[in-house]
Amino acid sequence: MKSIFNFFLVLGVVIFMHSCGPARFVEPLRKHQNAIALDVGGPIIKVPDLAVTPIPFSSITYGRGVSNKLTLHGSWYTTAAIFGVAQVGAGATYGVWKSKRKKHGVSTMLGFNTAVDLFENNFKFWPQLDAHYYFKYNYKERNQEDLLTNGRKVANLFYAGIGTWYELASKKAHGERQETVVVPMLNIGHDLNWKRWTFKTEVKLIAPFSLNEDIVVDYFSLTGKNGATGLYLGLIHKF
Amino acid sequence: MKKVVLISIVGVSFLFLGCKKRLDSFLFNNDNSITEYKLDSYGGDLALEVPIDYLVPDSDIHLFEYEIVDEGAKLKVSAIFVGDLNKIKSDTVILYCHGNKDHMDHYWPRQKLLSHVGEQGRYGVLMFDYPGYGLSQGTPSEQNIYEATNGAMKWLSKNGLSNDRLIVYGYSLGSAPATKSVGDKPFVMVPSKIILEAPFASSEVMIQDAAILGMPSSFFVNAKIDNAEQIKKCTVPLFWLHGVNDDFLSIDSHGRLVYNNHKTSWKIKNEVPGAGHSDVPTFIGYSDYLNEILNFIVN
Repeated sequence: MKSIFNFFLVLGVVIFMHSCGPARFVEPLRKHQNAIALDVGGPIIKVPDLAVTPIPFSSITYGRGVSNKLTLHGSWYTTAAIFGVAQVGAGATYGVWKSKRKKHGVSTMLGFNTAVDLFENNFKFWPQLDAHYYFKYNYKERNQEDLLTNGRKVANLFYAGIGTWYELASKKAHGERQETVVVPMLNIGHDLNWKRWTFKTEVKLIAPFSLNEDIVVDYFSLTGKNGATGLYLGLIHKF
Repeated sequence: MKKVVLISIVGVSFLFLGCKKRLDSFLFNNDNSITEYKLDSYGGDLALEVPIDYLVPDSDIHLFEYEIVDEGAKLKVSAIFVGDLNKIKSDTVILYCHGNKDHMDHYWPRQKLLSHVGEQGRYGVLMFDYPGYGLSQGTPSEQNIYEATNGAMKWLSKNGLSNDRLIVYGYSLGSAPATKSVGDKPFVMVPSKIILEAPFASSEVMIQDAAILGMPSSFFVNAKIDNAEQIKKCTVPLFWLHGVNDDFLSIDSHGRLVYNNHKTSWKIKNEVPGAGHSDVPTFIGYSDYLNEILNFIVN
């Protein structure tokens, strides 16, 4: 029966797309450094009789290092825009700890997402709080520009962390009580770095404690009957 | 140069807003590729497999068309009445609003089954294809499925049916026009009783079930289907059936909400253990299913 409801498959995926992208700037940018990121990806769904596939939804992010510890960033969700929904995300990533040799670090991100549709002007706002640990490996040789600035080496980066969205509304449709206040996520990702470019991959376990049965979308989930698993790819240009 | 590229990317992405794509059309999983209705000879996917015992004699099968107006255009809507046409003016008729798949051939076994409520031919059963389904002209939309339902009621009224002898039965998507007919009551007739099988509460609930966060349905669809609110205005008796294992429209967030919102007349329910979205009659057992409907009609 589900195969006859492709509409809702698309719908559900788009909804989740609204709610997530990959982790932004897990390692904060350098002071006055800028970056543009293009991300694609979303939750993996099972399309009956067809495939198990992540849906390539997209967003564009601009970030700027205010200091070596603090990066401010804003995102525009392009797929949401196609549906006539202006969705913007913004946040501040703060490096809270770094090992002496700067090989390890911990950062947090406080941000929000907001969306408004162009049809009925319905509005949605939901805050986000993330924390990530990262580990750098495969340091590459210093490049001239880095020597002239802060001498940072180029290295690839693994990261893992927890993300959370917060539902501020106490009621759902038809006055039903909203039981979900916090939607947790587990993020595991990798940044493959070059001098100015980064290729990002991330796997996200979304809402791993919420049942994914009896809903209109068949999500694929590494956690079985709970949540959804997302796969994201990103390309970041730093300048 | 970098600034130009940056501004261009941002500008183009903002222009996407102009696309204003909507998902409404995906609501209808219609098939209009057929050239005729094959009924018992149909070889496609069926909504139910019913045994030969529920055969309907050819003399009781009446295929016909009626006309509706949708956004200024005249559309022909195909319908099948099973029963004795002459009894419409004196007996009860079940108006069956089918789900969102294919066309009437797919739902023909369900119509046959309903024509055996009481005994074969005891009650007339009218089913119709929404615009864009089967041989019905047009493209389906929320508005024109209401128009098609209204057209079916006009046909019944013209053939002598009165409100007190009209029972409306809505299955899945069909719960929208069925509930509307007893909620806002915009159609030429107001049914005296309503049967809802696997109804959905609203597009809002569907979205919120899938999204966890409470997203407004207007982010995706223009459809205003809202059975949970419509049923509050319903003043006629309700019989609600829903599979406990319905993994598409959850009995918790959809079915029970609709049932609980019906408050101004008597109602009965059957939450069917083991049943999913499309096999409630099978799990109840066809004979018991027909008896339950009969009891509801004659109560």
